[in-house]
Amino acid sequence: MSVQHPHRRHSTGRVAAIALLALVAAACGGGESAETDDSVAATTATTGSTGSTEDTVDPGAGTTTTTEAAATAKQGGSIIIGLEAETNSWLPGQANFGNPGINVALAIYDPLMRRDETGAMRPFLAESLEANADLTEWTLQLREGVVFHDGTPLDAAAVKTIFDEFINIDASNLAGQVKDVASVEVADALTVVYRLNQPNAAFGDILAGAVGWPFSPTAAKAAGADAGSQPVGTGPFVFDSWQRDDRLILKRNEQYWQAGLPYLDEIIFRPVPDEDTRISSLAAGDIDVLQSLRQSTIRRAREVSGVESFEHLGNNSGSAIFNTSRPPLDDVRVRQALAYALNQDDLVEILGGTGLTPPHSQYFSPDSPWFSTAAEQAWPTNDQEAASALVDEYTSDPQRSDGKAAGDPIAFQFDCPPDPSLIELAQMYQAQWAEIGIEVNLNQVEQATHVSQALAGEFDAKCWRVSSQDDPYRIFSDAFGEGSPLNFTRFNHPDIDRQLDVLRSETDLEPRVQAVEEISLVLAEHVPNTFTAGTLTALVARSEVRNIDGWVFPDGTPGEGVPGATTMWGHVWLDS
Amino acid sequence: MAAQLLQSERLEAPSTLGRLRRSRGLLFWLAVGWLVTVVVCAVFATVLPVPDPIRPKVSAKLSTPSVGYPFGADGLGRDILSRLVHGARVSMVVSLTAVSIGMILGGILGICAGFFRGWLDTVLMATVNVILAFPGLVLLLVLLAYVGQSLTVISLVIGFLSIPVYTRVARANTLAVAQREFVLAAHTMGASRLRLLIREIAPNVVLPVAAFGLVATGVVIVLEGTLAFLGLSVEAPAPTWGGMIAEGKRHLSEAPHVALVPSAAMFLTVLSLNFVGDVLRRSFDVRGSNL
Amino acid sequence: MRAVARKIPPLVATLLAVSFLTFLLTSLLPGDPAEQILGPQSATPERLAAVRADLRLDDPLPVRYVRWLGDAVTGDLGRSYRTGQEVRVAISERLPVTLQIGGMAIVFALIAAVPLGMISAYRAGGPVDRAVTGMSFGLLAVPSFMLAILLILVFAERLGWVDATGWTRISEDFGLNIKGALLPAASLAVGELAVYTRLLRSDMIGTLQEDYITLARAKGMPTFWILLRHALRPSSFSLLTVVGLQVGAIITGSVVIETLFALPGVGRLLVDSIFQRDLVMVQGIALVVAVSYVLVNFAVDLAYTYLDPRVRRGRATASV
Repeated sequence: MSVQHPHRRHSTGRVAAIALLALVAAACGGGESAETDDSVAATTATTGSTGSTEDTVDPGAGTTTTTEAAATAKQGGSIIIGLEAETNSWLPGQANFGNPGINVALAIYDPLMRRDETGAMRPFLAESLEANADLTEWTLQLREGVVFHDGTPLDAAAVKTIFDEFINIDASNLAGQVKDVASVEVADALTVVYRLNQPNAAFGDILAGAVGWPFSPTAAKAAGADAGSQPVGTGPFVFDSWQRDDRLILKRNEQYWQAGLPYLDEIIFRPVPDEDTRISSLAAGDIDVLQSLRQSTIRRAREVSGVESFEHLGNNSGSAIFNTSRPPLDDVRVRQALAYALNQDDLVEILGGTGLTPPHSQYFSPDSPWFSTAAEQAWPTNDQEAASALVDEYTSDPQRSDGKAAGDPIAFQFDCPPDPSLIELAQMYQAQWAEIGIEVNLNQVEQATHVSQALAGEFDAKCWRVSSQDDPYRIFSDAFGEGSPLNFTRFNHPDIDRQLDVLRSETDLEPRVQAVEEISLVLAEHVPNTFTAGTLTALVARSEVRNIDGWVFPDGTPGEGVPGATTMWGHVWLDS
Repeated sequence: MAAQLLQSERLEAPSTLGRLRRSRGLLFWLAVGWLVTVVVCAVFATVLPVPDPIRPKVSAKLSTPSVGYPFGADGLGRDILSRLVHGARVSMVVSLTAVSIGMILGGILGICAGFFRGWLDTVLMATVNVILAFPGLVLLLVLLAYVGQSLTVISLVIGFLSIPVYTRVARANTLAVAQREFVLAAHTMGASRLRLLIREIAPNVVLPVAAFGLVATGVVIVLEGTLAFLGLSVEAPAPTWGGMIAEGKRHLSEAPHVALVPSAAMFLTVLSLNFVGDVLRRSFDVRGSNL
Repeated sequence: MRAVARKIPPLVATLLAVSFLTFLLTSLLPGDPAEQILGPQSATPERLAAVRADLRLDDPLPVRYVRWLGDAVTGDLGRSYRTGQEVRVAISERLPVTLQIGGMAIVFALIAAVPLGMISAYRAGGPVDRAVTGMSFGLLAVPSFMLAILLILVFAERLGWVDATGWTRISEDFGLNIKGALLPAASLAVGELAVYTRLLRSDMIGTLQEDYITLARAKGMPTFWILLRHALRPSSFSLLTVVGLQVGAIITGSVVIETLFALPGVGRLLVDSIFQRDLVMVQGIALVVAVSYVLVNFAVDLAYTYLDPRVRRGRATASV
C-alpha cells in the first residue's frame, strides 16, 4: 500500500481520556468483567471506536462502554440485527448500499480493501494492492485458495469478469465510480492490473466499497435477473433466504478462508424502518442489535437496560447545500450571510445532538487528520451583525443577481425530505434565516424527487449530507470537481482544481494535508454549503453480543471498528 | 383506514329514534361547545392572545406545561397551545374544503343518478366504482410529488376521493324521496322533471347529506393526521394537528405531552363531530331511505 | 346465471379504467426510473438514455400501456425496476401478510361488534346503547397509528407479552404467526369495530320492527334466540357491504401499520415503490387491489340472496 493515511480517529490525549471514561463507565455500569477475544491481538482500539461518547456519557445513565481486554470467543449462536432500511438488491452494480445494506454485504462478501485502526487502507480479502510510480496502474494480488460459497474459485479471471460484465456496464450504478478505469487485465491466475486514465492516489478506496466486494460471477450469470436476490460471495456467512422487508437469513460459512471464523452459526438481518419501534424491539428483545444514524435514537437506545452502544462519529455532516448557479445564492455575500446567521448549537440541539455531535466547520471532523484549524477559524460562525451587513449590501446593490428592486428581501426555497427530525431542523433553519430578513420557503420533497432535483440543479437550497470517511480526493473531486455529477452546488474554483491535482497524484501525507487545508479555506470563504454537526452512527447491542467493534485484519492488524454503524460480522460472537 | 370509515358511514340506515326527537342532553351541548371553541380558535387564531406559533425558542424545547406554556412547548420550543389554536385553522380548512367538494360534487352526482336512473345511473355508478377500486394513496402521492405539499392539493385530493361516498348517500336518499307522497303528488299535478328535482327532491336530500358531512369532517381530520404521519401533510412550519402529533412522536418517551395534547384535541373534536352529526342526522332522516 | 354474466363487462371495464389511470398518473411523477436505477453518481445522460431504451420507457404512453396489458393478461406483470424481482412474485409474497392482518382485523371487529350492535339495538336508547354509542364514537376518533404506538409501548415494551415487530409466516409456525399479527390487527380493528357496531345497530333496529319479529315475540320465543336466529341475518346487509368495500381500503389503509410494525406487506411495498419510481410495481399492485375489490364485491352481491331471499334486485345493485 503506497498511500499512507495517518492515524485519524483520535489523538493520544484523547485516547487516554476515553480510556479513563470507559473505566468510570464500566465501574458504574457494574458487573461487566473485562474479557478478551483470543483472536484479537491488541484490542485496545475498541475504546477508540466508542470515542464519540467521550465527553457525554453520563456514568449514571446505565450505558456501559466496556473494554474487551481479554475474553474467550465462543462458537455458535444466532443473533438478529434490526436495520433502519431494506436494500433493493445484493448485487453490486444493481444494489444501492446504504449503511444498513453495507452491514449485510460485509457478512456475505469480503471487501478487497478496508481501513485499519489508524485509518490506513489495507488489504483484507486482497493479498496486496500496489501502484506504479505515477499511480496509473494498480496491481491487485489475490489470496490463494479463496472460493465463493458456490465453489467457484476467486481468481483474477473472476475479478475481471465481475468488472467487465457487472460493474462497468451501462445499467450499473457503480459505473460512475470506475469511470477512470480504462481496463482490467489478468496478469496471472491471482494477479489483476487496473489501468487508469489518470493518476489516482485514492484508488484503494474504490476497492473498499461495492466495486471491491467480489461475488461469484458464475452464480450471478446463472441466476440472471434474480442475481440480486441470491448473493454468493466469499464472506463469513452464506446466504440462506430473504423475505424482502422482513428478514434475511445467513448461515455460517463452513469453508471460510479465515480459519476459526465466523463465530456465529446464524445471523438474521431485519429492516425495522420506524426509529421508535426499532428501539422498542431492542427493549423487548425481538432484536439483539440495533443500527441507527440518528442522534435522538442513539441517545434513547443507550438507556435500554442491558445494552452497549458502539458509536462512531465521522466526517459525514448534516448540511444545507446552496445552488451557486442560481440567484440569489449565486452571490457569495448571500451565502456568507446565511452561514453567519446560523447558530449551529441551536440546530444541533434541535436534532437532539447536543453533547453528542459537535458542530462542524469543514468536511472533516476535529479528530480527522485532514482537519484544518485554519479553516475552522476562517469558517463564518454565528454573527448576526456580519450577516445583516452582508444582506444589506446585497439588497441595496442595484445590480443584485436576483434582479429584484433594491431593498426587496432575499427569498429562496429550501427543500428537505419529510423525515420528522429534518422537518424540525428545516423550521429552525428557516427561523434563523428569517432573523436577518431572508424569506425562506420550506418545501418537503420526497427522497426520489430530492435527489433528482439535486442532480438536475433544479433547486435553491437543500438539506443534505456531505463528506465521508473516504479519501479527500474522492470526497472533493465528487463534490466540487469540474463536471462531476455529484457537484450539486455547481461550485467550481481554480484553487480547488489545482489542489485536486495534488491529491490525485501525491501519496505523501504532508502535501496532501496541505492541499486539503487549501480546499477547506476556499470553501470557508465561498460557502457553497453550511454544516450542522457530524453524523453519530451506532450499533447498539445487547451485552451478550460480543466483539462488535473488535474485528481485525487477517494478519491481526486491528480494524477501524464500527464506521457508519457497520462492522465485520464474522468476528462477532455470542456470550450465552 | 379513515377513508373506509368515510365509506361505511353512508350505509348507516335511519334510526327510528331520530323521529323521537328526544332531548339532546348535556353531552350534545358539551360537544357543540367544544366545536364552537375550535371554530372560534380557527377563525380568530391571529388575534387571540397566544404567542407566535412558528418562531422557535430552543431554550424552551420540550418544556412541560407551566404558567408560561399552558400545554408545554414542542421540539422547537414553540407554545403548544398557540400551535393548537393555529392548527385548528388548517384542520378546519382541510376538512371543510374536502367535505364541501365531496358533498357538492358527490351530492349532485348522486341526486342525478338516483333521480334519472337508467344509463346515467349506470355510468355514474361505474365511475364511482372506479374511484373506489383505485388505490387512493397512489393519486395522493403522485399529486403531492408533482405539485408539492400544499393545503389546496391535500384538500382537493381528499375531497375527490370522498366523492363516491357522498354519491351513494345522495343517490340512496334520492331513491327514497322520489317514492314519497309529496313527490308523487307534484308529479301528478304536472310539475316538470327539473322542477321536481330542484324544488321537491334536492331540499330533502341536502339535509341528510349535510348531516353525514359533519361526521365525515371528523374522518378527514383523522386522515390529515395519518398523512402527517407519512410526512405528507401541509408544509411546515404551518401547524397542523396531525403534523404536531407526528412531530411529537419523536419525543414520546421524554416529553409525551408534545404528542398527547394535539392527540387529545383531535380526539375531542372528532368525538364532538360524531355526536353532533349523529343527533342531527337522526333529526333529518328520511323515512325508509334505501341504501 | 344471466345476472352473473351481465355483471362481467362492467367489472372488466372497471379493471381497465383503474389500470390505465394508474399508468397515466405514475407517468406524471417527477424523477425518472432510470435515474433511480443508476443512482446519482452514474447517471450520465448517455447511461440514462441507454437504461431508458432498455426499459422501453421512451415509447408513447398508450403503446407502453397496451404492451403492459398484453403481458398482464398472460399473468406477466413484469419485473421490478428497483429490485429485479418479478412483480407477480413480489406481490404474492406480500399479499398474504396484508390480507391476514386485514382479515384478522375484520374478524376481531366482527366478534366484538355483533354482540354490541345487537344489544344496543335491542335496548335502543337505554344506558347500554348510549354507552356503546359513546364508545364507538370515541374509537372512531383515535387515529390507528397513535393506537399502534401505544399498543407497542404497553404490550411489547412494558409487558413483553408479544413482539413489537417481526413476522412469522403461517407455514413456519402458526402460533408465532398469530402472536405477531395480534397487535397490528388490533390497531386496525378498533376503527372498524366502531363502524360495524353502528351499522348493525341501526339495521337491526329496523328489522326488530318487522312483523315477523313481533310474531316471534308473541309466540314467546326467548329474546336471545329471536335476535340471533331471526334478526341478525336480515340485518347484515350494510355490514356485509362495508366489509366488501374495505378490501380495497385494507391494502392502502395498512401502510402506516405495516411501517410501524415492520411487516412485509403490500401497503409498504406500494409506498416504497411510488417513492422510488418503481412504476411497474405500482402498476401491478394497483391492478391487484382493483381485482380484489371487484371480486369481493361481486361475491358480496351474490351473498345478498343468501342473507335475504326476498332481496330486491334494486337493492343488490345499489350496494355495489
